[in-house]
Amino acid sequence: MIKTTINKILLSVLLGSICFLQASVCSAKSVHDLKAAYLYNFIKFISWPDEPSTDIEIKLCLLGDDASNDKFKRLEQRPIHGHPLLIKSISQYDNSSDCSVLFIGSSEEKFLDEIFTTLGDKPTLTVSSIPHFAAQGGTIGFVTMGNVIRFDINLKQATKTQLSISSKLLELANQVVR
Amino acid sequence: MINFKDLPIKSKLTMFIMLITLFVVLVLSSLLLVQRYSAFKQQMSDEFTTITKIIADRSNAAILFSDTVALTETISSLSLHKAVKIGCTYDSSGTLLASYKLKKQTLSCPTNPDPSFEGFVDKDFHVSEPILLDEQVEGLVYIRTSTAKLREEIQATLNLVLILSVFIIIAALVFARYIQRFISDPLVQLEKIARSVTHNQDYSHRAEKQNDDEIGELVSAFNTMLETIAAQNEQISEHTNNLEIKVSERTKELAIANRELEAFSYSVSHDLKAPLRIIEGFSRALEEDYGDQLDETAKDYLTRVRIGSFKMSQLITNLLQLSRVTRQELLKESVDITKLSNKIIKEICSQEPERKTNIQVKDNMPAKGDTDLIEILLDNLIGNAWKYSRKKAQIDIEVGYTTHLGNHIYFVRDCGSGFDMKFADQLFKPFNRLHSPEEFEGSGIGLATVARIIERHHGKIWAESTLGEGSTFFFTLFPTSSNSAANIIKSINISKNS
Repeated sequence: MIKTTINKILLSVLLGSICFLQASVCSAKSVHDLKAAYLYNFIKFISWPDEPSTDIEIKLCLLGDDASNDKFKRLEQRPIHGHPLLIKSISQYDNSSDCSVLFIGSSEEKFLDEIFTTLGDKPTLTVSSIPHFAAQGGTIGFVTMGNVIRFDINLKQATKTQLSISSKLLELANQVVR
Repeated sequence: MINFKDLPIKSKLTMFIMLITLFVVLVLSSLLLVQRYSAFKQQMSDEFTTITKIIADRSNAAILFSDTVALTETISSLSLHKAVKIGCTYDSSGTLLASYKLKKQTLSCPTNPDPSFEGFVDKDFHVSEPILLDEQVEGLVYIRTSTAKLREEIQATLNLVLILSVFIIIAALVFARYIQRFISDPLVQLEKIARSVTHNQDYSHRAEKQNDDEIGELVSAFNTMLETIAAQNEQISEHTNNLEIKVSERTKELAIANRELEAFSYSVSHDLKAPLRIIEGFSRALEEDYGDQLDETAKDYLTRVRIGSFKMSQLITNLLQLSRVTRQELLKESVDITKLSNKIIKEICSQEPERKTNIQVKDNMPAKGDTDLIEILLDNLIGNAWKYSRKKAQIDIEVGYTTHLGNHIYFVRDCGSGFDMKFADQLFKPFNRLHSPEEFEGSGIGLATVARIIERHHGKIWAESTLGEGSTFFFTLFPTSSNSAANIIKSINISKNS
């Protein structure tokens, strides 16, 4: 029963039908506000293989420059699953960075392959607004459709990096790469 | 209306069993209905609360990402349950985001529903569940469902209970009919036998003992009672027979004794007359032959001897008469009381012709009886009337009869000195005198003889009197048994007063 409903939802999401209510919400907040809220909410539906104990922060690294970075910084210290969220801006990613979530700024589009190589199979959630990000090997990529923000998920990559993504999130995804 | 107390035991027992069954069926049915109702309600509540929780859970991600399409799809999955009338999804601020309505439903989503509620309102079941994520309220799901299913279930249960109740009641009725026999049948049988015993006076019947319960005991007691009665009856009849034999023996003995006594008194009386006649004869001879030689004192003595012997002679005559009245064989023939009375009166008048008299004798007074004895009877009664009227200037005597219920009641009335009514029961006893011999001469045997004669004619005799004004003697001869003396006396009083 629920499964058929999910399929219907997916279909309707794909068709990109937009309701007025959502439009009103959208107009009240900027695209960057929404992206910040979405990123914060993604973390709620994702679990890491070695879930840290409650007193340890979740580290969100902002790599490079992005228009949304200022909004992300406002999420500082907001708790997720009881863990405070730590925001760290980095200019270059290396193995010592130790980020749970890595937001890759638009400025890094050219270095994506390099970054993915460095990351390897580390359980790091990669998010970016770079077009076709998920298709290129990122975990979640924002998709802007008109003034509505949607997202693609690369489930293959998530599985590879031992991240488990809630089916609820998958249901809401614009596209899922399997 | 039929009184319950008067119903036969069969009906009573059946009624008791049916009442108890009805009561039990009612109580159990009610309990079952209540239990089923609350169970269905609970089940319904659980079912829709769970559905709402699932919807709420499925909606949390969509709420976070403001995906109203996904929310609408999720809430629309309620269409799979036809009982759901409407379903609504709200965000945390209470704004309606998505809704589902059953076809043709006119209801609309409430504004600001209670965030956590479940219950029955307006015949529908309402439930609202918060949409939670990480213990944070992100929105609200509200569902309103029809309770038609619940009512159908209750109706079905009710139907089942009704069918079962009817079945149980019929079974109880059959059962009651069957078991009441154990109690009522022996009682009915007992009643029949008791009736038959009463009706036929036959104590040889016995009731059949079927069980060893109290009724069986009753039957045994009843049979024992019949045996006792039969034994007692036998004893009583034996006693009665013995008594009859004894009575007849005694009667015979008594008759013999009576006869002997009468023969004795007759012979004594008769034999006494002879020496009396000698005394009388020689006294008279002495007076006639030697009267001139005797002085006045000797003559007086001689007169006294003659008076004494005369009185004794009279006494003996009366005694003889009494004895004869008792002994003599009774004839039942036609007697003319008028003729007999006139004859007696004529005789008495001739003895005292100087008396002024007013004597009335009714004509044609027929009677049945023994002429000789009735003559003695009338002689005594009329003689008494004359005797006790002697102190009056005129002798008034009336002989007549009245008729009461086909019986002749004869009477002899005088206007003499009368007697005190308080001595009325002493009148007819021998040698009982209400007057002194100085006042009125007599032996005291006359009325005893009269009573004996009446007795032999199976009649009654009684008297009424007022002291100084006269007496009336009534008597009947062979009256029909249906009329008691008391009735006759009463009727006489009435006729006299009128």
